[in-house]
Amino acid sequence: MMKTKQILFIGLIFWQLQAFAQTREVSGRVIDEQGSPVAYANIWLENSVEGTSSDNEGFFRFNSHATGEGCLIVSMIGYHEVRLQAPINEMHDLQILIREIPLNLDEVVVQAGSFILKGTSTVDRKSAVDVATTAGSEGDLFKAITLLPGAQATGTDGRLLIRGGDSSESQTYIDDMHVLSPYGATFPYQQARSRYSPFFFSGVNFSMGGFTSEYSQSLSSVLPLYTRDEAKDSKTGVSLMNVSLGGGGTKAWEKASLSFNGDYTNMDSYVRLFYPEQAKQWYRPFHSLALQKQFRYSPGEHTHFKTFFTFDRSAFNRLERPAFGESREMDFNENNLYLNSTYRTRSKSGMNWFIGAAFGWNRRRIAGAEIAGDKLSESESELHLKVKMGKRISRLFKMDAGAESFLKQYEMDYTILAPPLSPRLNHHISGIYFSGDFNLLENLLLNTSVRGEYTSLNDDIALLPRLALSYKLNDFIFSGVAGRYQQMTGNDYLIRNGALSNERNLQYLLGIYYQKDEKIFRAEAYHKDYERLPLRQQQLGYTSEGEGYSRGVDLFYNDRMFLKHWDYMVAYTFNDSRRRYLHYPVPVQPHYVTRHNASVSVRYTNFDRLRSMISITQRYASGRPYHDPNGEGFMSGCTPQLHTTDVSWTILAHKKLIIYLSASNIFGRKNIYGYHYNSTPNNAGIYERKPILLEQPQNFYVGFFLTLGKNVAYEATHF
Amino acid sequence: MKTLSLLVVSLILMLGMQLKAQNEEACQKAMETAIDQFDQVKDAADLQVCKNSFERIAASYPERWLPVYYAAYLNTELVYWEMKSEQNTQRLEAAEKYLKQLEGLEEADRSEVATLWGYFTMCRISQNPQTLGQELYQPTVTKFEEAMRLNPANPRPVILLAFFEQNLPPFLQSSRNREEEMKKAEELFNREQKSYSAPYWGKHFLQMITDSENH
Repeated sequence: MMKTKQILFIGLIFWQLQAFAQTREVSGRVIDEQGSPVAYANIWLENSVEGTSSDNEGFFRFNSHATGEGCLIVSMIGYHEVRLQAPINEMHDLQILIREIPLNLDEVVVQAGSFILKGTSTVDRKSAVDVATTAGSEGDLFKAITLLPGAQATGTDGRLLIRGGDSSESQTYIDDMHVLSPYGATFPYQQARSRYSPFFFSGVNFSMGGFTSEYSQSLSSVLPLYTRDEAKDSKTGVSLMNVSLGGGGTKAWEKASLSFNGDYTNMDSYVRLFYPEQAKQWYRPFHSLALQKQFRYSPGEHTHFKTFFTFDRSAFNRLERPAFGESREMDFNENNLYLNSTYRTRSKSGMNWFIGAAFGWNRRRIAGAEIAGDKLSESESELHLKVKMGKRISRLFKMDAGAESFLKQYEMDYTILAPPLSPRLNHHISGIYFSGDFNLLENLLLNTSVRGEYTSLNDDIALLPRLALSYKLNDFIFSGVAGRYQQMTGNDYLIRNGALSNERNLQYLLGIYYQKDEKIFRAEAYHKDYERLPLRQQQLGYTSEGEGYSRGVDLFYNDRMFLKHWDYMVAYTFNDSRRRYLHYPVPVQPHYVTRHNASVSVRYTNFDRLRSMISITQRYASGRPYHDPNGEGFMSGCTPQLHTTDVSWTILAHKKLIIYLSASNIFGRKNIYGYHYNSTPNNAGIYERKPILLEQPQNFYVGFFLTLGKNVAYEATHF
Repeated sequence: MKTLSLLVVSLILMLGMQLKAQNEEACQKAMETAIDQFDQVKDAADLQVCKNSFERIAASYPERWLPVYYAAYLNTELVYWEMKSEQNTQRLEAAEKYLKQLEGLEEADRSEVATLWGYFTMCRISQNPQTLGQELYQPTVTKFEEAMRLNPANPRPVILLAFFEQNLPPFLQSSRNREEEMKKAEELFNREQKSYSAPYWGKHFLQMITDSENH
């Protein structure tokens, strides 16, 4: 018995020693889909430290003590991991194929029409600092966009005009929720600014057409802005400009933060200093109070709850002097509120969820709006509800879907007419979309999407398909998009005819993009066919029989390091556009369209010696068409070319203090945006005219931005 | 029969303990080899191979903080070695993944983890200074200061913060005296012994700062 035990014991020991003494060679070669060797791939047996790296020729070899079945793992950055289950003694002279992850095409690629100003994409990189320090932007988001290709020189209202579309064809979103009224209040013949500072946002995308089916109610462009997901540090600060005073701060906790900002603007001293000849017509200067607040809560890496609130109130009272006719007193008051709340999360299965609600409200009361003694009261509100989801199903397919609803109200009272004009609109727009990304090849991406949309006011159901193809070849990306888009006609026309159809267009875009190191080149061609545009017809009032087209080419080149400290940006846009709409009885180039647009921005950055960024921008646009009642034909006149030269100088005086100076149109050129014609001819039978000019053709800003907080440096915002 | 059962149970227990000890030993041995390999690194290719070694250990011993730490560190370090590499975005993503893993490991040295976060954000700035400089300046300094607070004897946050500030425009630099900071870091490094159970790197920044100032 004892002997048996001894044998058993010795046998077990021997077996154990045997098992650990033997080694097996694991060897092979790692190659990619082209058959090329993959160097420095990591190869190891699961649950062990036995492994090695492939050499320059992709070969690997190591010895293993393991026995039986094993799992060999091959991993390499940028490639899908490979797991090979097999008996370990058979793991020799292996040929292991690893496939590249085609992440560029669905995560990073730029598609025709889109322009990423900021964010993680490497397609282009611009920060809020870039936006603010480029001359001509005057620290304003919309003005910065007008320097991009596709954007035309704005009119006297300063609103975006993209690729032959009018200003109603552009929509703004904050955290994917629609913004009812993105432009701040201004006075006649003065260009509006965005209500939102570029510094509120961590990401700014801009799509000049061909955008995804997630967005609708726009025929030209969408501007999705993204606020920061989290603020890590508490800070406070104040800003002092020659037109405003502001202050605010952020309180940061481990998983949440609360930011607050307030600005008071008063143009009184500005007008007295720079436009003293206008001072007498201002009975009460333009002034506004703007408040912004954001609460962010991030309980997990992929879970973010955010609520963003803004309120602003603007007012002025002044003497309006129309080109022809009697002067009148205009008293203007506007209140604007915007509140959005969004929740994003990712489930364990990898599904991304988004739920959002946004409420926008704008009320304007204007006495002397059109003629002396009139009173105009306008109130508009919108509740936007949205839910969306998305998931990468496999390396070849990714899907997104969503549904949203806009509940809209508009009320107007105009009280000089008898009976008073008091139209009301109360309607909703509901949409649902599906989108699929197919990685046909590792460098070829197909996106198909479709949106179904119901508009209650005209009881219309529309199906809006879109197709996009992107192909990446080395540093070049080729992209093509075709899609149908629609938007409701503006309130001004709907109050006259609530049954107007939705305006529609069919868009085709083709683009080529190149980026290497610090150089970016883009060229895009586009064609848009418009239909169902509002058209005024003598007997019928407004109908939806308007139509037209817009086509053109955009070119862009940006070199961020052509010399040490220097970068420059060149943009050119050609547009050929014709429409029969509004009061145009025949197809003509619309009054707001400039066929040729170009801008050149040069910036010198030297923080080491000068602590400064100095920028100069030259902008050019060809003339705008106008109707000359003294001449032949319709819209046959053309204004002179537009030229402006803008400069800005940003000084980082101290890490807590930024000084910002900017001047627009430094040579004081009187750019003409069209002409006002007298409605009755003079004694000689001539209709007299006066040019339409900006009331304040030059803008001058001086600002001091002081931010207090531990480890805070060169921040122009406390948000 | 009873005796035989006892013998078998004892053998199984012995075997289990032996396997555990061997497992521990294998991990320790692999770490020693990888750290020695790191000491011999001459170029980016060597560093890549070395990073792979730490990643293999981190995959097999995800509960051990030091392999995960080195995997995060070397993914970051590779970006500095190959500033123009197309893989840098993915390397930084990998480094961030390991750093987040470290946050969940109770045994991890918090001062070292905070240092590595600072080094990581510093690296991100170097990839896109114009855009990320403003955004990440603050978190970088905060992390190094947190690391120094957690362990005043840790030389790495001291030297890395000095290095970071040296590369900032003068007006952004703090009132810290770089010479004193370097002296302090050198003293701390001199007290540190090569270790297989704690991070051991960063002394070369002393020379880099000196070279840069003499240049």
